Amino acid sequence: MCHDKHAPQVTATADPPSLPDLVARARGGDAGAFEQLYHRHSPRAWVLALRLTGNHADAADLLQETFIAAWEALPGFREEAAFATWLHRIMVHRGLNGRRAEVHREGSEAPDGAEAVAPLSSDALRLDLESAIRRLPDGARQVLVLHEIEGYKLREIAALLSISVGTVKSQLHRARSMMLEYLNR
Amino acid sequence: MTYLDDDDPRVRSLGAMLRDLPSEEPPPPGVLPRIRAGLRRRGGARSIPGAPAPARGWRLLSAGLAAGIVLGFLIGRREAKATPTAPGAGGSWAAAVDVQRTGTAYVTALGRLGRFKDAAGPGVVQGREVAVTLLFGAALAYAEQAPDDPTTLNLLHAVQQARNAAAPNAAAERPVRF
Repeated sequence: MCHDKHAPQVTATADPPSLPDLVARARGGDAGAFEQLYHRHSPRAWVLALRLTGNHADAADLLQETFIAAWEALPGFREEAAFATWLHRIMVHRGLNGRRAEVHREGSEAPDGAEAVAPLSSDALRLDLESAIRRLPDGARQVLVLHEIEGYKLREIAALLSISVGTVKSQLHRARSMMLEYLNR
Repeated sequence: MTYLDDDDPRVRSLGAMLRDLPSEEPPPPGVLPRIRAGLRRRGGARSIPGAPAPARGWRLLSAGLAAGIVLGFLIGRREAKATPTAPGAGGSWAAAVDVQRTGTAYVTALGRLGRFKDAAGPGVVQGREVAVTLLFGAALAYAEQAPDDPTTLNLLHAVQQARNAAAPNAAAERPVRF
């Protein structure tokens, strides 16, 4: 796991606390447990935020909003849902809220400055893919990320975005075409 | 734009490449302090996650530092009885003067220590450790008074990261109450 050096040390010999234990403690208001949850889950959430928003500044805002919302909603968290799934759903809801208008806007282009986002790694293929994702219009990018990377069903995305499945398919098709076009240049 | 269905080999290939993308990346270090500040602004009564707070040694040191300041303030106040002070300034004025006096002495002492920066003696190492310890203690004491100050949060975070980097296994669970 990333950030091990920041992970709180319990004792020299004790096993790391289990996820259900951490969740239960955090739900009871244990801030240290919540910090550990942050360190465990923020690397994955950060990547999702980056891909949903397309830029670092908005991704940082989204990550912050998500964890604040999670802290406040923890008392109502049902343990039958995986914590990571629950957290990501909060992020997706928050990430897509306020951006729904973009989904309906046909022909919208990537926001200015999207190309200025710092590279994520030195791997050329990954750079190309990440760059291509960032260049997509908001709606197409969100549908592509949720479906192709996060594994959401089309009908789930439609429900999240309050649009028809047909519109989701259209956005997905558009995203794929633009990705292939960009990668083949 | 040609139509691309799910069975198109290019779509399959693209999907496979996308699913192979790394799923984790460390978030910027500035996000956690922003989360703490955001929770604090909401006025939650729960403790703030992740805020650096003193381990036992740090707490003892801070307590000692605070006790020293209080003692110094009491002694200084007795001596100041015969000294005219600014009208209406009262105890807070004396405390502010005390902060300035001791802070100046701290900076001056650091400057003296800096003259030995090329020396490898244990005194220099110890002096630097004490300097950082006092700096962290002062930041904590200040944070008590101004918990929402972004400068405080950044300073605490930076010092905590420096301590973690120096001793990765020394990090401890550090919730802070506000």
